[in-house]
Amino acid sequence: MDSASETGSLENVVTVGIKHTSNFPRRRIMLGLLLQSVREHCGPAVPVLVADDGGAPDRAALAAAGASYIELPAFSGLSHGRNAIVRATRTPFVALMDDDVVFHASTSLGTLLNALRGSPRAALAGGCYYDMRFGRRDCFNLRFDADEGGTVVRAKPVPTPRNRAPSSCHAADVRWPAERERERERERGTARALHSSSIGTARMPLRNAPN
Amino acid sequence: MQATHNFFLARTAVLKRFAWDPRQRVMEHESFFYQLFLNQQPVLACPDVDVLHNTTRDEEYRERSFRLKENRFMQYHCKNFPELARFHTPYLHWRCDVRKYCVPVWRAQFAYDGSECVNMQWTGSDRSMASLPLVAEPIHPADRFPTRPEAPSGLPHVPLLVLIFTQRENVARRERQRATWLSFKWHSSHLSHELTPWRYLYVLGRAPASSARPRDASGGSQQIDTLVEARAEELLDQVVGDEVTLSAVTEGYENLVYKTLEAVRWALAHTSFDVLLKTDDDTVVHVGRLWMWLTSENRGPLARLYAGRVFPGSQVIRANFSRSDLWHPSWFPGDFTKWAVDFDVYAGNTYPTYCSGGGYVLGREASTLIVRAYDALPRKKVIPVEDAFVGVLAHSMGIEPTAAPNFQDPPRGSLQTRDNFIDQVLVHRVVVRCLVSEPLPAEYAIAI
Repeated sequence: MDSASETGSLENVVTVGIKHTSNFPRRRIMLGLLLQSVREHCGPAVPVLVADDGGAPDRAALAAAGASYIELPAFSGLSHGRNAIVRATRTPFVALMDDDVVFHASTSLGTLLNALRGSPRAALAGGCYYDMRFGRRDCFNLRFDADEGGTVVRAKPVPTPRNRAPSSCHAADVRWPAERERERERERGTARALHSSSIGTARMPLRNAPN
Repeated sequence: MQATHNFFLARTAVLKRFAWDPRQRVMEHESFFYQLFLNQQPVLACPDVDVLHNTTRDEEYRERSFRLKENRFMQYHCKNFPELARFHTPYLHWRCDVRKYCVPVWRAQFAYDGSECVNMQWTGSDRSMASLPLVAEPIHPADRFPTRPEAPSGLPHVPLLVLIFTQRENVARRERQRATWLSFKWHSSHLSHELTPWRYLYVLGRAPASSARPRDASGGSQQIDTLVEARAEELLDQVVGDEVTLSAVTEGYENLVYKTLEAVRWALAHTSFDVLLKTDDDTVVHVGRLWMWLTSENRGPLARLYAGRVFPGSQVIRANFSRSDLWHPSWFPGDFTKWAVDFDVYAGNTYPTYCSGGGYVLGREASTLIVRAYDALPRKKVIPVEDAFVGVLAHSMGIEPTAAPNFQDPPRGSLQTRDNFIDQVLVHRVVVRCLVSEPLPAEYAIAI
């Protein structure tokens, strides 16, 4: 993605994509609430896509929110729905979510956007869930540890405390250990033979460890 | 961070490249984020941003949604990452090695109530939908797969690359190979704890446009199959799971010779390998012994190596031959005229010495020369006998085959037991029945 095209105000660079299942009445109500909240918090200009594999959409709610509708094969599921949203997206960024969430005061797509703009190699910036039923916040941030030749993988929860620097995000260093080692060697000035163009050695700009 | 909730802002281009597996109507989360992880795609976690999550579910949703029928969808995480034996998350454990998954018993009274394990449904295609690097460091450590300064930038270095030729429908053969020698931890020599630096890939051609696609028996609809095919088209020539589908060839026996040369061309362009082993989906390879032979002290440089079970003075078949024209009728199947060659393509009575197509190894320079010789040849001069043709091309570039010890092609229909494998490096046309005490899949009836 050309980084120049990533500049501009939020409504010009971000599409909100919602995977919906309209054949459950409660999901239709949830979608109505979500669309309303998206307009309240992101303004009228952000493009909104609703991909639905239920076939019974609430057209009035979609029209009221000015959302585009993507009709999916019945019960085609989350994966196909999200792929369809991505294919239909015309902006360099897409905010993906299921239909059972609602935006509120701390749902800031702008923060996520700034995080991505500050970290050109990052694939995505994720937020947390605040469970409305149990009043619990959970961020579900995981780290993968691959052992024994990649045959045993453990996804371990990682705490990501909030309220550090204003609106900052946690980034993991995704360079593999050998890559990090090479970089250290380069910094020591001993690795003349290593060519600087090898993949993935660009330093992540967003390594803001909490110290 | 390597995974977040399904509430995120993403770069659209990245999601186009690393899409979700359309078969995973639910249980897609782990595959998606693990794919990003293996492809070194950084994920940011922004704890100051949250969204209200309505977790109320009604009765109807519980009954009809896929969400609570995850059993059907657990298999795809294992299929997407063929190397996985176990994948643990705080809430679910995939046991791909035994095709079970386990859920913690949340309301357990005692710790030893443990978890509940259930068999995964395991149906239909074995194909992966995850675009992966051939060498990813947490799986393939840098001390075994070192980067080569002389290699073109970004090419992964694989000392021994095994290309296994297969066809889409040979699911059972691939499963057997994955369960046996492909998942074995091969060591570099006797009593060594060093692992062999090898990688394998299945090589496929594109599906013929007219072929009827087999229905996914997992209850998947034709629609999902179509989506899978469409995604596969986007991933041509890329490593997907443990497969690569070559854009340059269509599947079919008559295209085997083209497939071989295009596969070698692909390997030269996408990896910096030292040695390449071309073999088939009905072969068993003792990778440790092969590596020991390749690296033995009296072995010369590997670059120009072309080795396998050699056929000296092999007879050239002509279209008008009957069985009485064959020098060794017992060596040939009934439909031997499929190997017939026109005089203007190859005039001699015998081929130069070549290596059996069941398995041969090529050094990097030998591979380059063979592809170069092929490219210099008019298309109509292609010999339809794949292994003999490679031998002819090698011969034309001054590369002569080396007899590799203990590469075996048991005669068709011969009795096979476990004894057939004693001391062998590579055994072709393996009838799986002698290796595993399970009912023989239907396709092996034909393979004998």
